[in-house]
Amino acid sequence: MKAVFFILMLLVLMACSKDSERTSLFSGAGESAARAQVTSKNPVSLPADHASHPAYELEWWYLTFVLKDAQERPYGVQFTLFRFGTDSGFVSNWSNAQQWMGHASLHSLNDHAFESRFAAGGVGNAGVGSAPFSAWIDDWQWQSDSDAPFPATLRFRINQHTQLSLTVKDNGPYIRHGDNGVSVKSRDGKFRSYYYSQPFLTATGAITHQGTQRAVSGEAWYDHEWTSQLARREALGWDWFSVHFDNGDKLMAFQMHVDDAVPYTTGTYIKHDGTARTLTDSDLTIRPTGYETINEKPVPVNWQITSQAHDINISVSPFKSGQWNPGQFAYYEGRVTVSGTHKGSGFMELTGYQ
Amino acid sequence: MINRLRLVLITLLKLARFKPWEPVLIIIALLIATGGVSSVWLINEGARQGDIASQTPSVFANAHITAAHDDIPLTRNDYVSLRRAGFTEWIALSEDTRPLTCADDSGVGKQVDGLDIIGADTQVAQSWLVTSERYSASEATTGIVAFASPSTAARYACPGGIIRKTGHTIASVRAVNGLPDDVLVVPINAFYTGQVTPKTHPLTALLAIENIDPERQQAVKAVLPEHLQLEQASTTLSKGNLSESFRLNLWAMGVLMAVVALFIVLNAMLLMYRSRLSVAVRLRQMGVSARLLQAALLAELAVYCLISTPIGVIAGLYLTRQLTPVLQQTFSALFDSAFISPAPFLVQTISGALLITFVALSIFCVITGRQLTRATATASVRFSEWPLKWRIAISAAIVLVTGLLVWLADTTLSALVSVAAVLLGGSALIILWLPHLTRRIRDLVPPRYVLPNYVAASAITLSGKTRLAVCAFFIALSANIGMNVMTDSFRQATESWLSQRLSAPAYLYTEQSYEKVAATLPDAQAVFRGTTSMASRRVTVRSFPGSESARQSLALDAVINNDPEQAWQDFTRGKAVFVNQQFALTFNKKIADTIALDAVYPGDKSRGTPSLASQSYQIAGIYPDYGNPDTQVLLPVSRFAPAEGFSGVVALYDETAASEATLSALGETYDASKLIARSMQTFDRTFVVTDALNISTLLVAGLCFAISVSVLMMDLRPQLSVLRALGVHQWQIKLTLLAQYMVFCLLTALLAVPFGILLAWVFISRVNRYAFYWYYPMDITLSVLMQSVFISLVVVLCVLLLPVGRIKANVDLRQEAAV
Repeated sequence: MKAVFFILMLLVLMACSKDSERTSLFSGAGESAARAQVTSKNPVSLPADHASHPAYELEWWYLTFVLKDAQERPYGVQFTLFRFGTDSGFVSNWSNAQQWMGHASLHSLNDHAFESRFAAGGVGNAGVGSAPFSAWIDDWQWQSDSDAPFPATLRFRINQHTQLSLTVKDNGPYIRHGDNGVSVKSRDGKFRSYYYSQPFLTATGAITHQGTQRAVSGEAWYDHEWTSQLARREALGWDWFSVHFDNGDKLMAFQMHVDDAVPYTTGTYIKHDGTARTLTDSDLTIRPTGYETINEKPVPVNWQITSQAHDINISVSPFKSGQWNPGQFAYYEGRVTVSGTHKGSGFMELTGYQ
Repeated sequence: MINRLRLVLITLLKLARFKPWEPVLIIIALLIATGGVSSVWLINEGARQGDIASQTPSVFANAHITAAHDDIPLTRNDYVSLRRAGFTEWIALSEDTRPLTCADDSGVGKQVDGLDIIGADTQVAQSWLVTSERYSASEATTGIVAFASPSTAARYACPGGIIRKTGHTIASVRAVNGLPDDVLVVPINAFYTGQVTPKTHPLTALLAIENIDPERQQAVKAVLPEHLQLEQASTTLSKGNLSESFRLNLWAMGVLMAVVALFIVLNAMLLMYRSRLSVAVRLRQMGVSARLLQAALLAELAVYCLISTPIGVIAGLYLTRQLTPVLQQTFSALFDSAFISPAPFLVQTISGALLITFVALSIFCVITGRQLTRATATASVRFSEWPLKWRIAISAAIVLVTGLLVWLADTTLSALVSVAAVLLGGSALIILWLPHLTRRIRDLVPPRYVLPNYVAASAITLSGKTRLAVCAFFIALSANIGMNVMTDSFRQATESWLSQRLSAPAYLYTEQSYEKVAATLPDAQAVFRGTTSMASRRVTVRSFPGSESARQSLALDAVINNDPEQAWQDFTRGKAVFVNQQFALTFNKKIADTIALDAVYPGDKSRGTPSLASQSYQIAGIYPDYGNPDTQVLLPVSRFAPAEGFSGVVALYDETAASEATLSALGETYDASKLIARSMQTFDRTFVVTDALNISTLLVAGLCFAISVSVLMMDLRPQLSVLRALGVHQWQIKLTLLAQYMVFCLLTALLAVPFGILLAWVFISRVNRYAFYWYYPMDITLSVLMQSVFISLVVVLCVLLLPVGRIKANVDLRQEAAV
């Protein structure tokens, strides 16, 4: 009887296997202690740092747009070029040790178009050039006239049926987050990145979707970030918000999830005149208030962001449901509406919820 | 209530410990049934997954962009230009056909392809990446990882890695879907390593990762520079449904074994209940209700289920794992398909097996419980025989229905149904006629031989009670004879076909180009291969010489106008072709029919420049082509000898003047006799699985018989005690009983022989015909039949010795009184 009981217990234990845990977005990209690390001794230096930093594990050039057409229909647009350092263990005569990934997404109230592109580094069909600045993967092209990313034109198509052509202009300074661009993401300072933004961007252009072309205009936000630490397996994901307030001020709020630790919160409040102040963990609270079920898992899409020091108490909610980017690296990326003490619109990125 | 149930269950379990024989038999039977069916399920799952993998359309069959001329190659810059122009559905491909070797120096293959997998954000590429992640999680492989079709991956399993002559060593090969056989695919960055550079190895092609619609084709053509050209997607290959048929056959065998195993369980339960009858009566006298007793018995069976089912499933899994290498080889060699070692999903499999077994046992528990009640209510169950005219009428009906089912079978499924009909029809005839036959035997025994006379008379009564066991034995033996006759016929046909086909004394297998081989061995007869299609189905093409010695090596089942001379003349002049049996049956073509073949391309791919334009031919002859899954057409070598279609095989006749050194410089030379021996070894390995199932089924049937005997022994105890009292020795009684049961077996075996032969015919002319599109002559060898019968009788004799040896010809009258 003991044997039978043992077998039964074994079966019960085997049947009660653990649910899948939260996984890191870029943990598959590889880790290497030999990669360059983020340090405050080498702060962000512009315009040199607009270029690529292959010594670091991860890097991205991120553009998000909150646009509207002549009929005031809202659109959310994302264009991102990611770079990963790889460690294949051999020297290739075809490509270098970099890999590129492009993500492009367009949300209207009724449609979503998304496409991802991949390319090996050093071949020629993907990369970032600096004089003049350009970033491309296949026929997705971001072309500036100078060594700075803006003003620039951006042309890309998503899945044959959607085409975007945007002219982007900057009308304010670049903002270095954290300590002169060294952005600390965790309480112990282990997770950090070089991070600067250009939140003062305006965009005009046209969206052609399913054969119909619409003129659009609006605001845009540019992020350039590079690091080796965020590729660690303990980095489970983050909640990131970029907000354009109606009064011209900007807010970047960020919350990092590292293993079982309490999420670390940081941000930057940017006044309309370009002056910026870093918000620390004690200055800023980011709290989920509502969830949406995506791929049978709850994803927090409604948030409350508060900062007593700046009299901020805002609710952030998506402008539509289902703003999920599928693909090999899946995450939430969508346009949001802001209400409360401040009003405005922006973008929200939630990773690690797959 | 629960407490009383627990008490009764404990009593029954203590009883089981006191009398372990019966529960052990139930456990063994359940072990065999769950083990057998689990392994069949796992093997079929592996075959199914392999089938899916093999039938996934190959990305390599898609459209290509290639260099239009040899002098201007396709470069990396061409690739980048096209991608930057927005044609992202194209990815770079580079091929290296230099030999690959295992780290232990054994040759493994000849082609490695570099593919820009990174640039292909498609489902195919993502599934490869998922496969890669799955593997990396389970094994710490470092270095270059290659992808291959499951059957190729199984062949390329080199523990120390695969060595490329100029590029880096490939550390491991992973099985993925959608790749052609015999090709290893590595990421293009891994392809260009070591001395392999884009300059030394320009790109072979840009490969479309999806179907390109006409509009997109026009668009890409418009931007292609002059030195590049677009090639359309090649004809989709179909591998047929061979392994599907194998799976059906295997399921049939597995179900057969499970049915026979269930007979054992039924008999073992009868035996157990009978031996416990006295205890059951006492429990009832103590106030235990019939329902509670039944519940306790069911709970006891649940305990046996819990013990035997997990072990049976794990044993089945172990068996499958042991058979996996053989199965992989078989699937690859015979079915041109893959066998993927299936993930066992242990918890689900065990839970499912537990549920099914317990439900089956519960039903049996009710049936045997009712029989037990009947047995206690009446002194004995009399077997009433049907009147002769009824038996004849029913027999005629059975024969008619079975005959019709066999005759009308025209699909694989209906052929398998006719197999079941033959077995069930035979069982029904056994049930109808066995008592009658035993009565005839009794009539033949003179009354003066008391003991034999008793044996014969007792056999008549027992023939009614052993029906379950006899049927199980009959089914197992008929299947065994059928399979053996079929295998033997196939073996003989294959051996004779190989001996005739490999008429040259030796064959050279070479990797060299045809030009070099022709220059070195001008008299050698090379084989050229090509690909064409007819009615949108792929057809393979082989060249065949028209020389006298070659004519001798091609056995033709049928020739035009029954005139071989005319057939060969038409063939060598290019007016007519020879087709294999598979071609004739697949396309429903006969001798002298005209067939319209599409353009013939050299090699295995239907792309590039065709060697022959579309043309109509007359069928001059049909030849047997055992084991070939493809439809095939032979063209005369005078008309079809494209150098790029050189198969790498050269027949070396005595007149081929070449030294050993010359031959070894070109490749490997094999004696025809060694090739035949190797082929026959592969053949024999192929039937390991069915042989194992055959023997298992026979063992199960024998066990069933032994248990029946044990049950009947209990009924016979009083009579045997009387015989013992009359002065008959213990050993005489045992011998008599053994003889009695062996008579049953012999009678059953004699009836099983014609049914086994019929079964073999159905296997060859129906199942094989509709599943594989070829058949072969049935060859009945007396020694094979005798061997089947003899082995089965020995098996039964061995298992019978156990219960007969245990019998004691005395009776506990106190127990009988209690009943």
